[in-house]
Amino acid sequence: MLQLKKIYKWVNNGNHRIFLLKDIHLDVNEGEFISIMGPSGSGKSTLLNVIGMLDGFDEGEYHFSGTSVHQLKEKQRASLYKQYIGFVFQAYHLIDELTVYENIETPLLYQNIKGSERKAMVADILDRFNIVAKKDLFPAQLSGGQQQLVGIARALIAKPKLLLADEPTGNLNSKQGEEIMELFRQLNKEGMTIIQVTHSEKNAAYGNRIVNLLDGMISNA
Amino acid sequence: MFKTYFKIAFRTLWKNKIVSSINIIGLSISIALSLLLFFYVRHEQSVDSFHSKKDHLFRLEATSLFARSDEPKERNFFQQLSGINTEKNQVVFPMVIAQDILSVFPEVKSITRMSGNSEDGYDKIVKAGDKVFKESHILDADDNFFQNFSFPLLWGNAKTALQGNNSVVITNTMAQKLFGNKNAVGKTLIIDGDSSRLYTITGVAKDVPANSGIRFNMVRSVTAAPDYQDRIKNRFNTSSHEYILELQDGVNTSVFKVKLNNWMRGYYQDALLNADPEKVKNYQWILRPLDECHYEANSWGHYTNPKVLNLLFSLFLLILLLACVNYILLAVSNVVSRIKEMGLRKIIGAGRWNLIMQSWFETLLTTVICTVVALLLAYTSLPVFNGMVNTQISFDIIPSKEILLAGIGLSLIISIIAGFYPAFVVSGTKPVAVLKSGSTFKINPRFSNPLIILQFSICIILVVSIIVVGAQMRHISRKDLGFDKEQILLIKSEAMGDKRKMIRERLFNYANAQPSILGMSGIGGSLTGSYNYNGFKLHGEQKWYSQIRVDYDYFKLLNIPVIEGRDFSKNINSDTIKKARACVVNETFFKLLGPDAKIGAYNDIIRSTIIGVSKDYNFETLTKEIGPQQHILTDFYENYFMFKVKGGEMNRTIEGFRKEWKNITNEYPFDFTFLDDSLMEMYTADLRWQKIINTAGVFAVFIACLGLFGFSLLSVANRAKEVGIRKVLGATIADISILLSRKMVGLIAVSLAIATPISWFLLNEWLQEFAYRINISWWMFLVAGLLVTTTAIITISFQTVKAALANPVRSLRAE
Repeated sequence: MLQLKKIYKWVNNGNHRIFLLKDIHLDVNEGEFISIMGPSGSGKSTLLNVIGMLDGFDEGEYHFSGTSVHQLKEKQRASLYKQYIGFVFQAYHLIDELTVYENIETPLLYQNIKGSERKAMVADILDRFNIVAKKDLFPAQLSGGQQQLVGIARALIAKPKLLLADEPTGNLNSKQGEEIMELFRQLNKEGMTIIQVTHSEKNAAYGNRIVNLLDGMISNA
Repeated sequence: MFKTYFKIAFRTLWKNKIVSSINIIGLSISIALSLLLFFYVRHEQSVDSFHSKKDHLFRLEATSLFARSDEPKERNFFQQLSGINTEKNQVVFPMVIAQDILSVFPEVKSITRMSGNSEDGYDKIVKAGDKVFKESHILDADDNFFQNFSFPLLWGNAKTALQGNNSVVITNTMAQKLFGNKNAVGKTLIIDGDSSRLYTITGVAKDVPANSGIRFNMVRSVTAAPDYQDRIKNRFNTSSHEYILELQDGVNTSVFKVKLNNWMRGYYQDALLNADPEKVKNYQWILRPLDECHYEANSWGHYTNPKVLNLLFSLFLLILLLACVNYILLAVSNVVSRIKEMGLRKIIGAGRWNLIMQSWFETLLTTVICTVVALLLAYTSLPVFNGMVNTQISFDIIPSKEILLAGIGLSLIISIIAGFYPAFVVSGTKPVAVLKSGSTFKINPRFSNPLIILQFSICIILVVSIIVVGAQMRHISRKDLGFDKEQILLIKSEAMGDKRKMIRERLFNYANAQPSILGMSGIGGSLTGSYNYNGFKLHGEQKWYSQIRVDYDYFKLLNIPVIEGRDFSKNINSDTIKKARACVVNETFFKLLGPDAKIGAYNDIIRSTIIGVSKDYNFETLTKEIGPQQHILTDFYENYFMFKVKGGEMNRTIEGFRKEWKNITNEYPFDFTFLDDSLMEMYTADLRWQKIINTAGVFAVFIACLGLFGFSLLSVANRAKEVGIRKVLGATIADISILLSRKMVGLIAVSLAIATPISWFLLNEWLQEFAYRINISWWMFLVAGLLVTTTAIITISFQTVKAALANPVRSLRAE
């Protein structure tokens, strides 16, 4: 599904060049559930952002389902990730001014999907995640677990092929965390490709492959 | 999508209540002012455009033949800005040419001659039953007046109302004033005490609308005027009436104008015999469309001063600009709080254009709210505005469609000016910014500094203007005019000839018996400088002097020293001999005449005998230098009797005069004024400007402070972490306050540097219009700078002190 070849990313600090990512090779097949692990500052989030096309890189090749991402312009890249990738964040990042319903609906608005269709899709996912009763509440009125649930619903609403999650359970207690991970496993079983960044061995075990990062390099494959 | 934009916009406004209210208050005031300006401009443009025949009606004008040639030709900055046509056209013509034009030109369908339409027309005495009134705006007009102009008649027939010598049409208000009830048709009245002619009211017209340049309370036929026959006999010798020509359908005006002028060259030759040949060469007749007459001050009932229009426009533009700058400043400063949301939206699929639209909709919503508030504000403050710019705008005149259009137009324009820049800044957020937590954002000074400097520069310019204009007006009112203006009572008189002699004698006899009255005299002509100007040749050069008609004891009463020769005296008969033409000239005139002028000897140059020289004094407005003046004894009329009244006795004295006046003459109403008041009237326009500048200045500073308040709120919030760290490291409250205000003082200093030369230039130009003016000095700028700085520091101190007092733990905990 996606292929990273010899990816380098660095920042220049005076005469020094500090590598954030160094010689990254990574192949991800459809239907995989990958956990990226490593200590703080090892480049986990940077790698995830590069995969999610939110961040660029300085050297290397990136192929995403047949498209050479490194040759695309900003705008094309944006439309590519808009179509294929969903994001879940540690801090949920819901829009405070919008209700649950509106938060989930927003990605569809930006893809110019018709009103009636939008309604059906949002109703569907609210139903599936069991949060119909909460649809008119604002994020501040929800618990952390519920907010993350909304965040995942929002990531899935546009039917992406790849789900990227940056420490999805980092702000949750263990019970809520378990529920989210169960949901991920379920999604993966239904065919969703998932890449998550995590600190926790336990969460990493939900996946079927672990990538360990250290100082910007993959230390095992 | 638009629904969503509005929904989000509304919630965002609601969430940031303080910033939103600052924006709404500032913008509402500015929009209200702009709306008022819009109505003013529309009102001025609509003058005379309500006549259904207006496309066929033209005023006949002629290039000037007899203008004073010594008036300054140079035009200063303000005059150039306004494009005032200082060349004054002649708009009155002899009575007789109407018939000739009509008989020669089939293009002319009809002609309406009018007189009495000018603002400074003479008042007439109107007697209805036993009631006497003094009335202005009594028009003499041809009997087609109500057919050519769209002044609807409530009673009476428009075609026939003005036929016959004794017909008169009055307005509704007039009818009520004179006769109490509305239908006054058939009632009679007497004009100017001429009881041999009884006027019958043949029609009652609706009151003249405020946007009409033809103003009347009463219209009578031109043939009814007492001097009608004289004027016909005089042929070309007296120009007295305005000509409004009604042209036939489809007449090409420029072709007709050429034809008319060709004919005039032959026909009008006699009238041009005595004029300067140089001017005759360029002499021509002009046709001005009726609805453009009001842009000339000449004999028209409404004058639209383009200078006023321009200045008002610039002022309101400035205030609007200030409000927009406020909005931009606050929106850009507020970007920090929006970065997370905007970045996030990008991640979940928003394009840049989506975000621009969303951000712009917030501005649009704000401006729409503001426009609604502004309409209410404009509506309620209309009377104040009318008083300030001396106009009578009413919402009835302006169609509601236009009000709506103005509202929508303004909302859109402002939302684009104020909204798009912030929208671009906000939408430029990089999506990854969301994911990199812990980075702090600062307001980019590249955006905010120039905006703040712009605001302060405008404020300083306006504050300096307030100070300078105020100082100049004080200078004028305190200037020693060369005579005593206090405690002088003026009683207006309309009588002429023998009647005036009788009234004067009895009034002065009465006054002589009153211990409260210290002296008496009189003056013929008005006080505001519209005297006779007489020309004379001095060493071959054309010069002008003004002639003032005075009564005995004039100089004594006003305490004007006669420095050579003597005052007029009742005991010296030669003073009243017509041929000798005794006069008292002022010093300037005496010096101008040079050594040839001898006291007591007949002077051939000015064809009069100078019996005395008075010290220069100033009656005319201080915008002009004192020119040569000549005083002669008045014999036929005097406009004002003047009495010097003992301090504290004024009210009682006036009541005494009122009673005596009634005994002497019941024909004329009792009308009085005070010398110092009527002198100040000459400066009404300038005083009005002072008021407008003051108001604009206060609003500008207020709006700028609102913006500054919001800006400091946001910038302090953005620096909360820095402040927290500094406090932990031991900074005192004073240290923090200084830290947060220091930059503002620097920005004001820059603004002062920018505003000083601009305001110096503008105000110097304004002062050029005054012959007696103050000098602009450095302290005025210093005061303005200090004033603005203090206001700004006080405004931001609300936030800085709060930030300095805050517990650092709270701002640092979040990290």
